[in-house]
Amino acid sequence: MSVPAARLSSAPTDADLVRAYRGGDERGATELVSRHLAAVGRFLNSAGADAAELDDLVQETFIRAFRALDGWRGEAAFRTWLMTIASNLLKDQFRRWHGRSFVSLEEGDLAAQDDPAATLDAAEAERKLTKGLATLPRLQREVFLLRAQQGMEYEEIAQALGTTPGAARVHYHNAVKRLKELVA
Amino acid sequence: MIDCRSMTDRMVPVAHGRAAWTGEEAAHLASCPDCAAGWRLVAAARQHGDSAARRLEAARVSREVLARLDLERGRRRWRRMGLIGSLAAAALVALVVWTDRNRSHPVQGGGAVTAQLFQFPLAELESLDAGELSTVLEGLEAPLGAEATPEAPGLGDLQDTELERVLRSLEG
Repeated sequence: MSVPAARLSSAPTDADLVRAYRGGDERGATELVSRHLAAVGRFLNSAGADAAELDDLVQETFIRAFRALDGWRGEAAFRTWLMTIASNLLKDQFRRWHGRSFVSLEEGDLAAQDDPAATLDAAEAERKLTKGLATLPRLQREVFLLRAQQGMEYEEIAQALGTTPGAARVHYHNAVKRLKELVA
Repeated sequence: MIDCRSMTDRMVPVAHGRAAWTGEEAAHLASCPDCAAGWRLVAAARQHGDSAARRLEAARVSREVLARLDLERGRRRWRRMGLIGSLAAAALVALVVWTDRNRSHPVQGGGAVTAQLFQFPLAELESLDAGELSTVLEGLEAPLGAEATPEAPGLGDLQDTELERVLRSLEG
């Protein structure tokens, strides 16, 4: 079963694309990757993925997602599901590293802007935030990123990280409090 | 009166364009250094990792993801075919062994079937004790004609005419 081309061109939902891919139409997978790639990449990068492994981790996230599509019943948004997989991958990676820390900010990671002063400000803010994020406990860091960076609701965050919305809210507020002291 | 905690919760929807500040909230933000710091933090977090993500190419990533999934599907297919082949080979070997065994021991199989066919319970004997059973067995072991033989006249005792009659009856 495949979604007709006309339907694919008129902004299909994630569920449509999943159905198309399951029906053998690889355009469904291609569209899902291009739709969620940046979000997954940003989350993994900010949550502490090694820069050299970012590409592999992003690919692995999508591979695991497509491999287990039968398990996705659509109760959670596809992006929430991707974040769950990405978070589990990071957990595995940190376990392999035995808690070894974390992100190294490269020059290339600095935000590219035309205004040199703004570039410096943004770069400084990013550097401080990166350092601040590294000091947070893993769950608190991921809750903060899913909320502030990805704009997810507490219910979605709770689904993605296997916690409750109330606990997610507490983690978020604690993270904001700690990061404000470090970053602002 | 706006409290800073509810402002913190409102920052994300506003930063992601799902809501806008009310006049009261905007005024609070302008006058509260703590909320202003929180707002800067959310704005920075929203853009954090942008440059790293920009280096990811959607077309290449999806191509590689699909290629790996295809490869896995191919491997799974080969594994499944290998399993089916092994099962078929095992079944063939079992069939050959079974056929060969039947061919080399045909009587054993037949004997077992015959023995099974002739095993039937005798309800009359089951109530007997060991002594009674051995009496019955002794009776069975004696040839049916044994007791009659001593009383039956031997051929040597017959007279010539009687002997000739017996011979004629035997010859028909």
